[in-house]
Amino acid sequence: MFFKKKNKDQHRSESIMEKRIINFKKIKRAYYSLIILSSLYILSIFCPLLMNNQPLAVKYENAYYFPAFTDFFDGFLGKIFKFKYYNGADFGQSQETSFRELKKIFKEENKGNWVMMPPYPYGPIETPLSEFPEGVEPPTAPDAQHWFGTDTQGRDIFARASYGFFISISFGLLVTLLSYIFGIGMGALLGYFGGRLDLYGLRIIEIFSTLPFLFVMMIMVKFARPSFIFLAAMYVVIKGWIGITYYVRAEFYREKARDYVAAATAMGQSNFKIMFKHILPNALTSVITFAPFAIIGYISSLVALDFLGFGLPTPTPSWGELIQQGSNQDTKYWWIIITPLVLLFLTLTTVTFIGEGVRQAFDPKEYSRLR
Amino acid sequence: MSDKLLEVKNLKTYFHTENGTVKAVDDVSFTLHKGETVGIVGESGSGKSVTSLSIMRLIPMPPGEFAGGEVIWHKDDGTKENLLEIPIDRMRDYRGNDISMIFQEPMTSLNPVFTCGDQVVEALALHQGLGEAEARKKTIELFDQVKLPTPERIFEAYPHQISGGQKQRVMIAMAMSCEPKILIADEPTTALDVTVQKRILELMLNLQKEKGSTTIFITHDLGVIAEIADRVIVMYKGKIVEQGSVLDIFSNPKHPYTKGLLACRPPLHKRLYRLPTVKDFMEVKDGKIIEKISSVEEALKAVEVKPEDREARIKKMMQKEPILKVEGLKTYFPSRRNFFGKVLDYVKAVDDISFDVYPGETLGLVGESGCGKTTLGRTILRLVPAHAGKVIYKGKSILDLSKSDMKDMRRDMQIIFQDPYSSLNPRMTVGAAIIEPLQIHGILANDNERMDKARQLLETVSMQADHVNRYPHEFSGGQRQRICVARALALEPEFIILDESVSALDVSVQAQVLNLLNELQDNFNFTYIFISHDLSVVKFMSDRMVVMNRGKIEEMGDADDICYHPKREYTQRLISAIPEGRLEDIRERFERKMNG
Repeated sequence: MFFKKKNKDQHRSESIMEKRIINFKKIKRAYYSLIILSSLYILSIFCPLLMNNQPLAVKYENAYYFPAFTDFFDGFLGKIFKFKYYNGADFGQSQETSFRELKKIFKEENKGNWVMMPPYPYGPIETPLSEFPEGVEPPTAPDAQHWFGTDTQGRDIFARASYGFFISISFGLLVTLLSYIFGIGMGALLGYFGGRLDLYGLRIIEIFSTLPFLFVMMIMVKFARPSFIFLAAMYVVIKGWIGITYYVRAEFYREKARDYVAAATAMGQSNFKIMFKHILPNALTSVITFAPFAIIGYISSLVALDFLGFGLPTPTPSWGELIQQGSNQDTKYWWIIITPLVLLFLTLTTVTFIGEGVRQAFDPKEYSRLR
Repeated sequence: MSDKLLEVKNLKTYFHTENGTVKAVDDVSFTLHKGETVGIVGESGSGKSVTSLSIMRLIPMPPGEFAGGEVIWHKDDGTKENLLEIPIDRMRDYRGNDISMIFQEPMTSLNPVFTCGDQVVEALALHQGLGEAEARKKTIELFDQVKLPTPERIFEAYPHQISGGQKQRVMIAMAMSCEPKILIADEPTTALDVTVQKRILELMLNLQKEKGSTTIFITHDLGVIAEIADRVIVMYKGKIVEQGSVLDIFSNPKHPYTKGLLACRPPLHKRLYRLPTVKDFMEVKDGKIIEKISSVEEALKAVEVKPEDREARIKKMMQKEPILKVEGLKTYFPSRRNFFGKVLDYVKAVDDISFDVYPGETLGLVGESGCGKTTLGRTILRLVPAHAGKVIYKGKSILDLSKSDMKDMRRDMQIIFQDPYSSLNPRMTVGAAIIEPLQIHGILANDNERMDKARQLLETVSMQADHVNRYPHEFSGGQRQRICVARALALEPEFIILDESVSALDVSVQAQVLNLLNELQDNFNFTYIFISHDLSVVKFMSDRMVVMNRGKIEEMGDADDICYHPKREYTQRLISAIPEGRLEDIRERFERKMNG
């Protein structure tokens, strides 16, 4: 009896959000797309350990070195700590000696020194021209060493495309997140307070929305070489937040007239709490369903910028740059362009599936049309 | 009466939801004859709307399903057709042409981007193939028939430019446009004020007399049925519990549910301390209905207040200092501005209102929609800025308080809103909603203690403690309004404004909530301002009453006095608009009908 009563007390009904997540899981195509894409993305975070010309571990004269980890952490902490980059010279060879050659040399020497390379021993920005057989010029076709071939400078396309995947998705996510934070904040303020603030806010939005993004970028690039963060920030400021602000502002306008807001005011709740605790969760539906499609947009516009050469600085591995290379080459070097295109296609399709699923899961009116 | 028009035989409409099958309509049979008006009455969820939608085959499938039964249409040439089996294309010919429908919400059932005229013209063009000029002429004729003032102007007007009652008239004109054999009116007056309701009902009666059309009238209010129907079908949980002529049902109700419905409407000419509810008449045990009280009169007599008790109560109340004084309060909204934004003209929503409220009293505030009663309530709580005047609560001038003082004041003064569906945040559990005011004012040490308090409060409003973890969408309108009451009680206020708090509820549920409010007042000595458009409800609740019209006070005084001896014409109009469902009135109507 006691047990039963306790159980009953535990009954907690699902919130609208939980219901939608359950709905989403029922949409198999979207759910599996999400699982595949997110696991690939998580995998791609570890790219420096999985495909790199830096070895995972080196034993040299009884000391151990871990060059690939340097590479891996450099991405996050490189700004704070200066990591030492190793090359052949640190291990008794010439500076140009790659670790793959070093591995062979150590093996031949058989002095107890060894090199452990990552599963795929080529990096995205390395040009192993010295390892090409006599008379072979890059780009080379796919073979056992370079799965998807090499580009015009002899860099490994598989490695570049994989790193490009990480960068593209990260870019899409980051820009979407930042524009959402910024746009929701602005939209909430304009919609909730309205009046004069709204009037001037909207004018500012209008000014921003008339800025031609590509031209602004072209001019900016003249002054400073854009970094990843700089590009993302530009996207958010010039483009991303505007659409979100419009949506959220309208939702806030509608929701603030509802009685639950009046009820919260009547109990003495502060404006900030009303905006973000009460209204926001009710105002988010449309912008959430919109998010996957926003990510698609940002991924493809990064590709476009890179393609035009106004994107990320040159050695950075990116799809747009690969496509650009491929489109300048003779069609017999098809692999340069096919690889990034196929990857782009697959990625965007998967995200679209996810977006469709989210939209369907969020649709409260599936059955409400009389027929 | 052998001229059958429509026969519903053993209709079963089920909905397959995640939580199992809902038998919305469970084995319902009735016959509709030419020229009669059948009222279907029941509380929300009783399946009355689904029945009518099933006849129109407007049930979304899935999740709906016709699990059995027939809807047989008798054609003029004597042949029959089962509407549930004909192809959907054929069904479209029936819809609008032979059977048409008026919905509850006139605000949303007209398309806001077309003029009212266009929408009727469209219906005419679709079903009768009329040309534009002809259709226009016919539409204006129809508008004239539904007693719309200046039909030509309404023809050109957009839905937002006309009032709710006028919109419902346009809807009726649209439904009548193709001279349907059956008109289904699904709660056509529920969203309207009583005064407007009265006029719409008169209109429908007249049209029926002139055209001899057949009507199915759906409502939750037996009082309305008494005004319009010839026969009544009482539905409860998807089943018909009683049917018969209006006179029979009102003079001699058999089923306890019907009796409950008859008794729960606040009577105008009696003073009760609580309303009998359906629960007083019946109990459901193991799916069987057990009758508790057999006579409506008996039930009413048991709860009647003696005049001397009432006098004593009012005398005692008036001896104290008023808890709230409103002096010359004005709330204006700018209506016209010049080029530079200077306000030229105001809408005077509240125009120079003064009254006192005594501790422990219920002051009723009654008037048609748009009379400023809601704005008045909100101005008192400073939810809407006042233009001029004073609101003095316990010696403090509310309108001059600083922001932080006002926050403290809000503990003492609470409001419960009209719409239980929108006044609870759908994203918050019931518990979270109730403890929110406690969090804001830092009452009790932590959220665990507050949750315990929320459980207590839920029990106070006769709900279950374990409802704290549920979300509002799982509850019915009446339950949600109880949750709102619990939330208002959390801060242990002394003064509560009830702003049309029961207007969105079914009559039977309304009675339960009203009783609850009265019980709470007795237990905690609350002071209420009770706002409603329905004079009978206000009269039941209040000690004194203020009748408002166009932002001004028409009449103020003892509630019973005003009801029994109204001085102003406006008050008389409000009183006459109430569908009381008195036997004499029904008899008179029937006699008039017999005599033509």
